[in-house]
Amino acid sequence: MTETTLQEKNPLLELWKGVADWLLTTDHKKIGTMYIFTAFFFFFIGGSLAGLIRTQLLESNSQFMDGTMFNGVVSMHGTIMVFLWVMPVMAGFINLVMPLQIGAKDMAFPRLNSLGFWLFVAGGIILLSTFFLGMPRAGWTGYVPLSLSKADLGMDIWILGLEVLGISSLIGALNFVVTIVKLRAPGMGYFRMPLFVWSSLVTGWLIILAMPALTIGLAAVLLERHFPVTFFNSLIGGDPLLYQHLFWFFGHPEVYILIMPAFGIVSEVIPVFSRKPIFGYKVMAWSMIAIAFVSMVVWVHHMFASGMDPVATIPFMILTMIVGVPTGIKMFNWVATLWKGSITFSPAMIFALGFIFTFTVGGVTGVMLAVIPFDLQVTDTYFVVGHMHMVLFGGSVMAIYAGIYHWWPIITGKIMGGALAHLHFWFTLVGSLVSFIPMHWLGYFGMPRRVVTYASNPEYVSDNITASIGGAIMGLGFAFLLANMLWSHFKGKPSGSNPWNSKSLEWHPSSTTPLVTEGPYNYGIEEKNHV
Amino acid sequence: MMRKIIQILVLTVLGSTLGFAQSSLPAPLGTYAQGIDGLTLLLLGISAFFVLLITVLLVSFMIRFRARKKDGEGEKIHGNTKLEVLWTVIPFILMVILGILAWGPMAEQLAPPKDALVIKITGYAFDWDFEYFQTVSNSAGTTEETFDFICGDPKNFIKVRSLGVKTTHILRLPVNKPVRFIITATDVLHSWWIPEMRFKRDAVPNYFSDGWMKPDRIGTFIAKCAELCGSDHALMQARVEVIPLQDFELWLTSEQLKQAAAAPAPRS
Repeated sequence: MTETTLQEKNPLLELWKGVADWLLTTDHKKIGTMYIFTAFFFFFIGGSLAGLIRTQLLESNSQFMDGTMFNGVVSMHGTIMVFLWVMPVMAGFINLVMPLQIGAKDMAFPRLNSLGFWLFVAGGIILLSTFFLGMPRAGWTGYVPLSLSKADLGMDIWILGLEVLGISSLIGALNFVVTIVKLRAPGMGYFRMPLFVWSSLVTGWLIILAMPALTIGLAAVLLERHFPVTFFNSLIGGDPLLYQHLFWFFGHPEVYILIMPAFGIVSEVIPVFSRKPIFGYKVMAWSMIAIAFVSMVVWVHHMFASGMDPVATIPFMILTMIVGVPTGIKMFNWVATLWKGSITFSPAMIFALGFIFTFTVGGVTGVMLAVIPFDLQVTDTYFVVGHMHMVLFGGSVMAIYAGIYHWWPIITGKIMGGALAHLHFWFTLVGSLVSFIPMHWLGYFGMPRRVVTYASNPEYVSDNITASIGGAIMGLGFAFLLANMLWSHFKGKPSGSNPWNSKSLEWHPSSTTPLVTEGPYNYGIEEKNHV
Repeated sequence: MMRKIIQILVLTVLGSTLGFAQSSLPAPLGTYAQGIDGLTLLLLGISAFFVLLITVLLVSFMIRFRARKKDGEGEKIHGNTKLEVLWTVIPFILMVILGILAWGPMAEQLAPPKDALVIKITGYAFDWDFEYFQTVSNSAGTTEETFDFICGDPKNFIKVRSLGVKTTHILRLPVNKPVRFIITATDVLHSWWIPEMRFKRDAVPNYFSDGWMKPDRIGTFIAKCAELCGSDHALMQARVEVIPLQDFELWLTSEQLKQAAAAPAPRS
């Protein structure tokens, strides 16, 4: 008794030990957890910026923000949501779950993993510093020549932040790929990997192939801003479209980097709560590979109106449409997984089912946008804003919510409450539809994106108010999630090691390396014996 | 019974979506725009069909196969090759059809009439300039040699000569006459968009993007900038006035005289 009290006497030292344990950790679960919570913090900030945008657009000619401020808020909202929320939260899930699912003790390079996380934090701090030093104002795409403007000091900080985040992502991605290739448990061939592991592998490759294009493009912008070199200024021999090619050569694979882990999460959740094998496992894996390949060669569909030769855009239209085929296969296969299942509506499951619906709504408008003559009307309008939010929020974020409920026991050993989760779900679903659907109409009618005012068309006001109300509903939904996290901390049931009765390895921790003898998702009973 | 309800539901939702879409679109300007509206409704119909299909399957499976007892298991079904081939091939065929349908309006934009009135549109932060040109010769090979610039690709170009009229912020167009836009910018990117025309092209410094239309009714329209270009991006608009041909010619002649008097230096 006396000895222990002597050792534990200094509470500050104990606190420091606890904190240092997290700060210096190279454990993939702790790093994954830190990724997830840090990303949720940035999500809150990005969401607050969305709140500012929706407040501005409540009136046709609101004086709440001026154009400069508004462009800054819009740019930061997009940047934060893409680079500080969806990407890192997915990296968090991959860190947390993927090594467990393949029966590895940790990532292949634990120290690099830690470096990757802290670079993410550093990049985040750099980006947030623009709130005090001046926000970038050229949109999350940072198109030249606008982003070359010396008056826009925030651009330099923005570029610095994104370069740091780019290194962080590359480190993470290399780690994912090497871990999956080298550290799978004995017996786990590629086609015995859970689909979330497949999605991690594909995401890793996409980051490795795409991210350098952004790194180079941004470095060139930085050089042209401060040194007498010309890459983009067309008046002295540069080409502004070069930046768009570089940006979208990264930017289109990027949207699949954001959605691919979501596919993985949904593919994990649906079989567990349908008590059935995933429908067409091999096709599900191959379709992810197919999507990833094609996603590398469709970038020009962001540039149909850019002024490049229209004939050169046609192959990109065809390739973009082709992406719809493997994506469609995935949707149908998820639905078919439910057939003759025994479905329980756990929190993770309702979000996964909601994902199938909202992602379909967002996906079909993606196919519409591939049709060039249609795209020329709606590109750079609220139609694109609606589509992109429908797939990023209705797709990625829905799946992230599914993932957080599903794997919460691995992080905390507790289960989140069902009632609060259902409230969270319905607010999220209804809010996203109410907010994003009217945006499609607004775009086709004539509302460009990134506008601080629509004074010339006051008739847009009712749809804009609807969209803002939808945003508020989503925000309330998020509050239910936070409440649920707190509730589970104080009152939640201990989960035990396998609360969902799952067969995946992440729920079967063991001190020895497991031997894998069968593919994943071996749920269900043979038809003959079925009562 | 259930099937009947679903049928009625699907038809109602599909019908009302298309009906709502058609009735609430801002009236198109010109036949090209009408074609795009037709394409839009078709795309919307196909999209709504797939959303409904997935939704109906999803919800009906959720109800039909909900767990009826605790710890119930599903059936061990790993897949069905026939079904998977089916939902690979059908969307693929649909995509091919869409690609073919898209070609119509694209080909139309790629082949502007040779006798079109040519307007050079220059975007800058935060307004639009317009310069009027007439076609003097084309690749078919008339001998006219005094021209100000060539537009179009090498196989399909026209030579144009300035009509000596420039305007800012207001673009006047004759009704029922083909008009060709040559779009460019001086500072940063902009994008020229008349929503009623259902067409948009970026204005890029040193690039000359092409587009054409044939406005088929008199009226005043707003052209907007659709590419973020700075603090007043949202205010960067132009007034497009489609007026009767006679009025247009009268106005053009008087402007030619006025602007020639104001700037006596002859063009070289």
